Amino acid sequence: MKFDIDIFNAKMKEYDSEKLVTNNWGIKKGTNNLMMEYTYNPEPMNASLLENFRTWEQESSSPNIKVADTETGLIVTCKIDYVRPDKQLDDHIILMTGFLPKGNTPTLCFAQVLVEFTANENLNFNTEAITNQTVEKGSDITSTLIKILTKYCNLLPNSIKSQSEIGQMVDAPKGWKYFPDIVKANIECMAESIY
Amino acid sequence: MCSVSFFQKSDFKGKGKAFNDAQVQPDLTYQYYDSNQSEFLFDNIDTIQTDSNAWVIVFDNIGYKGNYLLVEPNSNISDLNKVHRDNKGDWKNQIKSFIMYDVKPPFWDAGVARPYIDYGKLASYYPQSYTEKDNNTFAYQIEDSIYRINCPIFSNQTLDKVVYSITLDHENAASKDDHASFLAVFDNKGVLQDITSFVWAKGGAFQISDDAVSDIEDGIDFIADLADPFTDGAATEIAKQIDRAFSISCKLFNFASMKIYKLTDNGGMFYFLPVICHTINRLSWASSIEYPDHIVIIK
Repeated sequence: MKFDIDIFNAKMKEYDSEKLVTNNWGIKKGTNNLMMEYTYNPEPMNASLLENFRTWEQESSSPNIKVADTETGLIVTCKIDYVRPDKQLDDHIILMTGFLPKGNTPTLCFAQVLVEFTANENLNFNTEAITNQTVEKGSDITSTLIKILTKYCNLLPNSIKSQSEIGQMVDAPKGWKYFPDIVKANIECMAESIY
Repeated sequence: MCSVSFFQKSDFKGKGKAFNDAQVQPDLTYQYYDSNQSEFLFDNIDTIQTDSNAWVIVFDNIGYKGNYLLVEPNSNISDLNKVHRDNKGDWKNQIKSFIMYDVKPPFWDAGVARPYIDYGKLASYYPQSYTEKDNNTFAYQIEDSIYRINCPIFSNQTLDKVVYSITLDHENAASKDDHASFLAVFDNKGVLQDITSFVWAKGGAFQISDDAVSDIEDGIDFIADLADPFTDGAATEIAKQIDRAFSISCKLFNFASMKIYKLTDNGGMFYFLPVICHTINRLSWASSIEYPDHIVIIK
């Protein structure tokens, strides 16, 4: 199995393209590596809701994961930046996913996420590895992971309120609540970029 | 049952000492020719004799390090003064440690003392890696950071395992670099078996318990129905291997991320975790028991 970053770029451009507007792969000033910038707006007619994100070029296991002396599994990892409007440093999402062939189709077999809030590290959050064995009946890995992220991100305003009482932070950047949508888009496009 | 005999002098003369059964002797300072412990074997051997079931590797340093000599079964080496020892002369009075197997180990025919890590091959698995520091380190840029992988260092060997020490750095321009280290345990076929003694250093170091990482049979289960299409009757064993291949990385990721939960940085430190996970996979492919040809062997 191989991961193709050009296919990923194409899939991201096709993905819910009214809300998610994706640029080509490019180089961020001061670095040498590829990254892809995009905006996300759940209500495209309301420009004030637009937020900026960046996915860095994925690293895939090369060679594939060794199973029974064959190259069988694939791990794909990446970092996603939330480019915050409040001039704070970016927040980061580290995404680790694993794929195995089901028949001829690469199939997601686990996903795990680590979220880092640079302005309020007490909010940092990581999920367990979500696998087929841990999902609820009738659900799948991506949906389960997104459900956990959504639940957490919905709790963030309360966490921030608690923090604000001790004077650390007043408002939660609104892009935080888009994290589940961003992770979902990345995972689904990654899954379609493996052949 | 296997046996090796060592003698002080050539032609099987002088005092002698026999060792029976497969065993490891990491330091012959503690092995004596006689019961009153007046003369030890350390740097005091000129003759070796093996029986039909003994595959013996002798080393010119303690801890199975340095140059090595493979001694076949039914060998009668009557004068080590005549046996070439790389560019350092001969083997007379040079043996400081040895290992004896009662079956031929899988790496024996390659002429190596253990499964080795092909460092060149390892480096090639990282995207656009480049060497640093006298070729003992290579680095690569991924995401927006630089990570270094130092040359794996042989750590220990037993009858059925060989251990390499692995160290990695994340270059952190804003403060001191982050460091990670662990021991990679391979079997005699060069198959990665375990990761132990995982340490992460960012200011104060923390260590992940060996149980947490190595207890791979429990907890995470990736098998589901994914193994079936390609297992062809060997489902259980293959499924276990799938579980093992992924779960070591996942457990590292999970436990380490819990530890850095309250830290913050430019993201490069956090991506260090996937770098480590990819390294574990790449190590499993860079280990070898093939005949070494134009490769760097870690002695």
